[in-house]
Amino acid sequence: MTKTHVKSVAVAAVVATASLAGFAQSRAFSPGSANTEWKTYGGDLRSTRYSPLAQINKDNFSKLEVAWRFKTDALGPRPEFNLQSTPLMVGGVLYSTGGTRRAVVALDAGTGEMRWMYSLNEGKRGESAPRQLSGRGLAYWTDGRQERIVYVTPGYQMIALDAKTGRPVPGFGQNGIVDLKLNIDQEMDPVTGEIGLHAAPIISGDVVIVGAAHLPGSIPSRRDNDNGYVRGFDVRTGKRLWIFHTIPKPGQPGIETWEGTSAEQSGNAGVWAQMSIDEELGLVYLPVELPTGDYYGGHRPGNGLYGESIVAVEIKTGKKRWHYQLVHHGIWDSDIPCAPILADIVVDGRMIKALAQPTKQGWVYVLDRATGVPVWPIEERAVEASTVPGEKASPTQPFVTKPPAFAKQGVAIDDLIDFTPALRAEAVKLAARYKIGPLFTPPVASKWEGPLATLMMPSTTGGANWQGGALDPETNYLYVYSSNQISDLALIESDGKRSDMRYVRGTARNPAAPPAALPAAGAAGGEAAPPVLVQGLPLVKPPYATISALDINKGDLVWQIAHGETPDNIRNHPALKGLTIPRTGRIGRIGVLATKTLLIAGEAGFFTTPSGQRGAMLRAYDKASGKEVGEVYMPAPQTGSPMTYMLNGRQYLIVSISGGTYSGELVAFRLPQDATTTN
Amino acid sequence: MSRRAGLVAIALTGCAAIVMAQAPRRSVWDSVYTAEQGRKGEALATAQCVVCHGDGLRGGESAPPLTGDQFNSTWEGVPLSDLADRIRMTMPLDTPGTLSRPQTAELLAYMLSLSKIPAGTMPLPPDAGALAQITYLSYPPQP
Repeated sequence: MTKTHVKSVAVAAVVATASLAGFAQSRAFSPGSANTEWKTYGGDLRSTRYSPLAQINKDNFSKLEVAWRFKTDALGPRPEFNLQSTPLMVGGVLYSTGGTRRAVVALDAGTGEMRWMYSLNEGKRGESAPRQLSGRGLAYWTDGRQERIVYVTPGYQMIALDAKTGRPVPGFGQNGIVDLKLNIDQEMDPVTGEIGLHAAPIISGDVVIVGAAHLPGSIPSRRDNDNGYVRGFDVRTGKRLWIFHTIPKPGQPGIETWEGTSAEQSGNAGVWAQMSIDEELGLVYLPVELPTGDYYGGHRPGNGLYGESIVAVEIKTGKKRWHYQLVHHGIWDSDIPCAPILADIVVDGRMIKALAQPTKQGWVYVLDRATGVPVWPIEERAVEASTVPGEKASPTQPFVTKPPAFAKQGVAIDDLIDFTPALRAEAVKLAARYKIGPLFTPPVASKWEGPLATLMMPSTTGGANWQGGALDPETNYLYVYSSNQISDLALIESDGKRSDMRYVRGTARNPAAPPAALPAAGAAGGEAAPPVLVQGLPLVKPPYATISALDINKGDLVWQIAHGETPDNIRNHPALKGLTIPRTGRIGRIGVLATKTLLIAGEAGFFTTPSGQRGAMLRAYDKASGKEVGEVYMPAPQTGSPMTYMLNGRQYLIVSISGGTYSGELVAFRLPQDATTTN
Repeated sequence: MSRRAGLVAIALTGCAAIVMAQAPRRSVWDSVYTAEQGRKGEALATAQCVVCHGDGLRGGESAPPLTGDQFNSTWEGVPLSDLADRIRMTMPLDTPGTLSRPQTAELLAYMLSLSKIPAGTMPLPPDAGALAQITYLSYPPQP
């Protein structure tokens, strides 16, 4: 090649790089640059949980002070201790759910003063709901003239409120309410029908989309439980526009993945997580849970679409465009727990409209969101067969090759606690009673003589969970909190009283244990299996909770840190006296927030600060390195994912906190006035 | 009784109250519940709690575990009266406030038994004042 050629190639490369940067740039700032509000649960319809605000930065984060607090106790008949809300902020008004009856409040975003409150007493319907308490959030809609707040009650009714007054909108459903237990393509008891939703609805244009959740499925009462279909409604009228059957009906595509009549005899497969939307492609992305029976699939042989699949459907019609199943024939409760995060990435010079799905099993699955094709290979690999009678586990499962897992996967002896040789020896002895193995090691039928259970990591609740992750669209770094925790997963034969499943989750009892007295009615009696703890310490090595940064342009893990100061029960444990234990992290459900300047996340659980206060810290990290750059005390752990907005020249951070004996509270942080002018 | 004697009596009563309030606290490792209470608690939990909190109260999708690492991180060093109040006021979710204080003590006993904290011969007291004197610890305190 001549010099001239070299130069022209170099110029071409520069042009290509510039255009790629422009591509990323135009995407990066479309959601939030025009305003400083927070209009959807995930920060934008792409669920990035990103804000371009920069007033709060590494130099001043630790100077944050409480601007106001809003206690949610009186929003329902009793206090709530698990406030999971991420509020919205539009036009200087903060909207949030709260209280045990899931009321909606509108607060002055600068002072926390209540403008209005709406609450519906659903009586028995609300009391018997599978997903109670205050929920995770709500949705905002405007056509430029009207403004509405839309949410789903514990009793599965969708309500549209006038955002200015809090009054139900008369033209929506019946007097502002759509009964979601009707018009759902199945018979359902209006009171006891086992369906509800914690998540916020999502709105695009004039379509509001609603998923479904059920009771946890470890011991389902009926194998043909209610189905969790997804529906789109006209946000103006509440009229149903479409329904997507997450378990196909006879004759529909996907039915071939169910053997015999198992599709008709299975339920669940709801979408209890948040969804994401690409308005340009006109698609909404549904993260589907598994069908009935979290750990036993003997009644539903086959891969069972669309269980544990991401499904892309058209916003306006509900018509399926593509699907991708993450786990075949699920028996590990690998429900897809959170919103897929939409990112426009550049891989080896190629621009890809991508979707990045954090999961319980510790992988982020990166797919082309127009087609559903994996960006990096996802390989079908052989996995161990199940030995549980009647169970036909899938012989293969999809393995993500890139990016690396953000959580520990599988259990080996090397993963066990090793603070001291004695603790390790005790851990090895305990683990010998269990089955251990890599990811996708199947659950066992529990035997007292062993194996008592399969030790599973990530645990049945992840890994990631409903809180999901955040994405910085300037760098395409994806941030996700995760737990490293072991579940002892085993099955026992159902006695037929609590469930009509053949097997349900449970652990064998010692049949030879002499009962000191007859077991109380309803109790299993006999000696129960030991907890998977070693002298009260976790069986697995720390870190117990982490935040990871993944570069999803490259498919790399950039950094990973322990998130959460070491809990008191470990710091003060007599068996660890004299040892220096690095920060271990604390286990919970922690949503992260990315801003122009920082990555922000509160801690789970409690600890005692050096000054003797019991509480949790709100922490800020450098986005590039994971280095901690600031911390602020909170009297209780973060239980809802944080959000941020700018009002009258000042940036606010809102965190939902609660737990232990501390009832639900929204806390607003901002910088002191002098700190905002000097930075 | 003279006015002065009355004042002395009041002062002495006050001292006694202070002495009572400062009685040495116990932890859950001091054999504070009976196995029978634990069994009754298990029956209650099976009927009312495991549907959300899972088998063995290991935690469910939307309900926290009531034993193990995460539980210990939240409740370490907290008096049992706080835990009892939380249960009594908020649980079970569909009929909160229906558990009696003795039933709440039975559930607490079951939770302690799940962590293999040893039972004794004296039952866990149901009243808040007595429970306030018992601290939750995830490991036996050193002498």
